[in-house]
Amino acid sequence: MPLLKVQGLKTYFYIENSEYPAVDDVSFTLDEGRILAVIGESGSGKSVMSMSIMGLIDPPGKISGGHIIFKGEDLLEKTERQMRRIRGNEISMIYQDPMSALDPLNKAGDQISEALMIHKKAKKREARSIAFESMRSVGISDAEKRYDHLPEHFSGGMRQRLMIAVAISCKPSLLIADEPTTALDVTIQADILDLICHLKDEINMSVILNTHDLGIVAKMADDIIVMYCGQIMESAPCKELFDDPRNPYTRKLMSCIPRADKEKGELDTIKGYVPHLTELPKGCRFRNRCDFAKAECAVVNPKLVEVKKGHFSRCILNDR
Amino acid sequence: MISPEISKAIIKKLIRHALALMLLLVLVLIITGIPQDFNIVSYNARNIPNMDLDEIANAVIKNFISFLDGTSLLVRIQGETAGSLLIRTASKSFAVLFAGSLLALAGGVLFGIFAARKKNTAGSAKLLLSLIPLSVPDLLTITLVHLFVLYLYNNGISLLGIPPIPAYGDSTIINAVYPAISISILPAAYIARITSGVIEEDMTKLHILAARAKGCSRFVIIRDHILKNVLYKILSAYPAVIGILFSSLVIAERLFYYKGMAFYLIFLRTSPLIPAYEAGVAFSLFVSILCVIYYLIYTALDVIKSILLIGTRK
Repeated sequence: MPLLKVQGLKTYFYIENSEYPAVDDVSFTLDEGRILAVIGESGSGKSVMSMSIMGLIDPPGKISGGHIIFKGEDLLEKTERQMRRIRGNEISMIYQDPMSALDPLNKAGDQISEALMIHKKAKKREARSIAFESMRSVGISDAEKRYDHLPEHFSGGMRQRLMIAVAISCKPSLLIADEPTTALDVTIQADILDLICHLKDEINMSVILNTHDLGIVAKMADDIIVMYCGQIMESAPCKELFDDPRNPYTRKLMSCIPRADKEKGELDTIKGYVPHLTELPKGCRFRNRCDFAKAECAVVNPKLVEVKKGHFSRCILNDR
Repeated sequence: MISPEISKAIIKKLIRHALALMLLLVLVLIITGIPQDFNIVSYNARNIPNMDLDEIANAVIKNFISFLDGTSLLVRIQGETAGSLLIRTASKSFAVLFAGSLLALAGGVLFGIFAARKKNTAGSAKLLLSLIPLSVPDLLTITLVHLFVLYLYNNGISLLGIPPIPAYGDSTIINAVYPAISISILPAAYIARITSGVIEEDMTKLHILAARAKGCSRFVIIRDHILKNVLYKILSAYPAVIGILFSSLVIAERLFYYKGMAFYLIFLRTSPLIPAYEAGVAFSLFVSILCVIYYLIYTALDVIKSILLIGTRK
């Protein structure tokens, strides 16, 4: 049984009697101990999908359909109280901006203890000592002293470590990392990613890693989902996707990565912009930016089809 | 242990506030030093003052001197010195101010939290919060409370098991209940607006989302992550709240015939029973002391605010 099974997830935003699909019919599975990378440009629906799994979608957003089966139970059928027992305990999340994801007026250590006191019913002193361990495990030295510091006394990388310490304090089964390195200095990005991998092995948790950095994905992920305008364009195991990308969008994303083995020349770009939710084109949502678009693409939004075992793609070219 | 940075900020504030208070006292003593029987009469299409400028200046100077050398405390008002009257009435007014202030704070914060729960921004609680402070004059609010109290007392109705409280007078501490309630309504609405505004604003912040992702309930989020910010914002706005409380106190004490400092302010100014000079000196003393008290509270709040502000940066 997979740890997480998302089936036909639809998260729509309802504004002035119109509905806008931020996540549209997304399905995937995630097994225990694996890393699933969700890649896509900004506005592709990665974060909304993560928030949907966490049950943190607020109006005007709403989960309009589908199932999120976690450890055999549908999270969408759970009450808010039941979801609170899962959040931070079974499923944790870290954010791309550690500068604002930590409470500026609460002590760093107390932010770790909080989750332990809620979920593990730990007493303050006990929570404090577990928090020291968590801080040490994410590489924050002098934990006893730094416990009482406010987040502003930590650097960007240290704050992200702190966020990770908060997230793993209850040893969750699933960690959702929403672009955890985007706001960080390149020199510490690798450290943070290594830390996530190390903790994943130590706790045996699964990770959903949202990113638009294919370099990170190639290094860390077991499976990949490529998202565009709220839909999955392609999904496959990591090696398979990099070896044989089938979707024009995936290919285009890959052609934008600088490669050491490539001849000198200008880097490729994807023309145009990700359309706004309110202006999604009819038919294939990528067609306006696709090099292979045909008249048919404006009519039909292709289905996600299995092109190889475990390899899915959404493009009319795959049908031929 | 107060750090040198905080000490420096506190000293700067104390000096600034002391200078501002001195300036304010000078203004108050000039205005209140003008004799109470000063008048301008119209005669043959001419406006003629009943005193010349020298007389007024002398009265103002005399007022300054009597305030500074303490003789204003010895002026007799209905057989009692102004000093003892001040002490007697100040304790009564402070009971009302203190209780009103606490009620406003507790009621305002609780109502603000409740109002912030309403998802619909046009909810009736929020509408009331906007309407009361902005549209209803304090006189009307206090009069309505007074009418309600009269109704309760005249019909012998008791609330929450408390026997009917007299609608007038100041003979017992229980008489302070209604004035305290009536002066707390507007400040409570003001605090509630601040509270609900801060909660709504903070609820959209990423660290609150992160707290929700940790499994915190709304109650825990408000208690542990938002309330500090709310209290800080209230502390910043409290000088204005104290101002409202002081102005409401004048109306409440008069309507409820509760003989505190604010009651005597009106009484000294309007009663023909007290000679103009004594009434003028005592009035000047009362207003000056009220200014000093207001400024002391304001300074204390400002100092606490700077300690908290710098303290949180430590």
